[in-house]
Amino acid sequence: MSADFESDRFSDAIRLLLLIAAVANPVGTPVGTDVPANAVAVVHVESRLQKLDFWLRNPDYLADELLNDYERSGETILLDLAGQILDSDEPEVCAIPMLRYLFGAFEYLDQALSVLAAPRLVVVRQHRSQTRVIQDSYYLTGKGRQIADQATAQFPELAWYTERALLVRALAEATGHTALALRKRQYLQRDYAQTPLGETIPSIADRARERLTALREATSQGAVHE
Amino acid sequence: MVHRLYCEGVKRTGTTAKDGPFTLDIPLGPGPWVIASEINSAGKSSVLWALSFALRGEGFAGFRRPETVGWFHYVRADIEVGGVAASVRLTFERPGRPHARLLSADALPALLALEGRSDEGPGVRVVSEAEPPEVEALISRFMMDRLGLRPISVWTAEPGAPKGEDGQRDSTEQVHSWPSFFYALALNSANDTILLGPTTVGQLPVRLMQLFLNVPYASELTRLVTARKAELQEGSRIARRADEDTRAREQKAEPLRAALVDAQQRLRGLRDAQPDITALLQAVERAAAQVVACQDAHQIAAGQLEAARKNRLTDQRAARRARQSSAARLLLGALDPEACPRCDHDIDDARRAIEDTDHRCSVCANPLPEEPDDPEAAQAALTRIDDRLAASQAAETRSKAAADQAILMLKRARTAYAEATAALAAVRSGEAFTLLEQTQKEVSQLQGALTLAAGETTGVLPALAAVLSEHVAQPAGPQSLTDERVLAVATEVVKEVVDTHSRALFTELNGEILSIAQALGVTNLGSVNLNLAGHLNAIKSGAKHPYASFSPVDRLRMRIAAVVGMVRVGRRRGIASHPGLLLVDAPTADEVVPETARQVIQTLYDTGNDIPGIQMIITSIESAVWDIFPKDRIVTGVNGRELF
Repeated sequence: MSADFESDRFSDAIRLLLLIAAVANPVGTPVGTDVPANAVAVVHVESRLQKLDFWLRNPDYLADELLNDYERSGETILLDLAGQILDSDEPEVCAIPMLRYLFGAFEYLDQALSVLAAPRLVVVRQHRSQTRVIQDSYYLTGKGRQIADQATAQFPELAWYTERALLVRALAEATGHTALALRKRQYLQRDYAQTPLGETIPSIADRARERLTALREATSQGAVHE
Repeated sequence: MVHRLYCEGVKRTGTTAKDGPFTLDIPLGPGPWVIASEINSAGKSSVLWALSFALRGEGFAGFRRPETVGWFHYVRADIEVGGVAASVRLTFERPGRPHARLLSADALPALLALEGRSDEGPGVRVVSEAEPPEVEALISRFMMDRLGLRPISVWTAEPGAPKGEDGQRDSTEQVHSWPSFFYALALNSANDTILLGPTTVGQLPVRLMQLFLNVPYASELTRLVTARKAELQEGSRIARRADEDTRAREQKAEPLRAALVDAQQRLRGLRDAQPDITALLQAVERAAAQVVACQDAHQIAAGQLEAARKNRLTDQRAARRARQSSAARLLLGALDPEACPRCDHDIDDARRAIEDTDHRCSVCANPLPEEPDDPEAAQAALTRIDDRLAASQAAETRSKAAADQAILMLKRARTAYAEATAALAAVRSGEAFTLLEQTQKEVSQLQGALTLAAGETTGVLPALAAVLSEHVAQPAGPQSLTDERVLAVATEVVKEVVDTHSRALFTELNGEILSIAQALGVTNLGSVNLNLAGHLNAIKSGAKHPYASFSPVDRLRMRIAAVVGMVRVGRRRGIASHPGLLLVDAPTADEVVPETARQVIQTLYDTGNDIPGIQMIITSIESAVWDIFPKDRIVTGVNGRELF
């Protein structure tokens, strides 16, 4: 897979834009002093962004997480969503593999962000939090929102990202907003946690599919969730 | 030699005038004696009977008068046998069953001196005693010892024994000893057709004569002959038993044999009727091969499908990437930079204008790359990618179809295989097959049973053969055959000796018999040729005259002649086997002509007198005896009437 992986900064950029557009929270009114002009929404914490990007790029891991959630809550919708992902070729076709870094998935997003920052679709600000840690904030501008909407409307391949990003957001918010929770999730995948540093995180599509089949069977026999 | 006969008894006739106790005391000695009376039933025979009891251990049947048996309570006979003086004392507690006591002394007078029943005296000692069952044995032993006689063995058919296949009756050894030998002393009555002895079986008459004539090995020969006959009988018995065994086994085996034949027939029928398994087996094989082929095909098809899928995914990825990239470029590429991403300062229009004029990036002032964005080229690239994707999708579809087909074929092949196997199993477990196996088992079992029953050991399992060898009775082995051969040879040799000696003696004897018989009044007797078979071969009036054909009177005369002749020949040769005693009861009883009777009496008297060492005791009512016998040799009752 790494052979046909093109580090295409425009594709990365548009994906990132769509992700930000989907998961950013509206900037509150009245607008704060450090909020840039024309900002409509904001995402705090870069690491959170990266983790969300991970799920965007690895549908198999997302599906697996959905199954975990299903096992906990028993909501059939989760099973169905997982099924939608795993029954199709999504894990094979749509995945964009990432390298493993310390502290969970981490990739150099700067280049993609520059592409967004230059036309002022996204504005990056840094500030100190209450605990004196430097935090990044990614503000989405009105122009950014516009391009994002246009992408979603015109190009089905890109619309897919928006949809998925919204789903990912829902998943993240179901578990809480903190990055730590997200990070813990990703570490829960043994395949991924054992991947040596600097190597590509492997696919768990087949394992997830097996799990799906098992859960489906269990469900049809009424065994899941007592 | 009897020297004294003493009897005590009680007479009971029912006529009180004559009844009462009596005592008889008859002195005897060598030479002729007559117990005479002028009337019948004077007790003459009874006296002889009493004497014979003492001498024989059992009363001689010919002399026995039933009415007088119980009268005798005590019989004593002082005798001399083989140079030994003895006295036989019989005490009758019950009629005919006495105790016996045998006394002996160094000299006869010591015994004769004893009065009546007295058995104690100087020089007298008790040799032995016997109770009723052993009395015969006691006296027999004594006599045989003294006379140096050995028993004669005769092979006699068992009474009522059926004739076997070889014409032989089941026989057994009969030993004749003193009681039979006594027939040479007490002669058969005139009516008897046997020359000598109680029976003609085993040529006893001849044997007796050989015995008394001291023919060497005469007794032994009889024993050999008997032993050999016993061996042969045993051998034939064993053979017969083996035959019977075999027959029995055969009989037992018969039903088994029949059952086996039947079972084998049924088996053949079943085998013929059996459905062809080979065809089914072949079908199963073919189906299995087909399954394997389909499995291989399926594997290949599946592999190809996988490969096609991978290709398609690759192409799909590529297409997606290309489209994403193109879309992203369209959206973002056209945007003018507004701010520096590094420092966030605005980029003004002036800088932006340089891009068009100098082809310099308004952000970093480097020369802009050559626009590769030829929309047509980009579009063409996209089209190419799409085409490739379409091709690989088509390939995948085809592969899927092929794989599905392969799966279908495999399924069909598997079903066919299952059907073929089932068909085979059905036949195998079917009734027909079970019956076939059952019948086969039956046949095997019957064969085994038949082997055991019939005892045939050829070509049989070792385990069975071991069992069989225990059961089969071994037929008479070479061992007994050797014994029989030995006996046969011994018999031949001994017989040779016996016959040779006998011939010589018999020749002499024949002469004696002839002369004495003639003297006794047998008319027209030409010759006598006693042979080893016991036939007298007499020629009377020029014709062969078997002994039985003689008149009773003549028979008695011939008999007397034979015995007297025997004694004479013996005495001449110094043979003392015969004690010399003759007891003849009424020798002239059947005589019709008085003259002849006289002649007979005379001859008897002369014989008794002339031949040394003979003691002849006869009974008679002939008037001639009163003349011929001297008074001291006549034993008689008062007035020639009852003796007691």
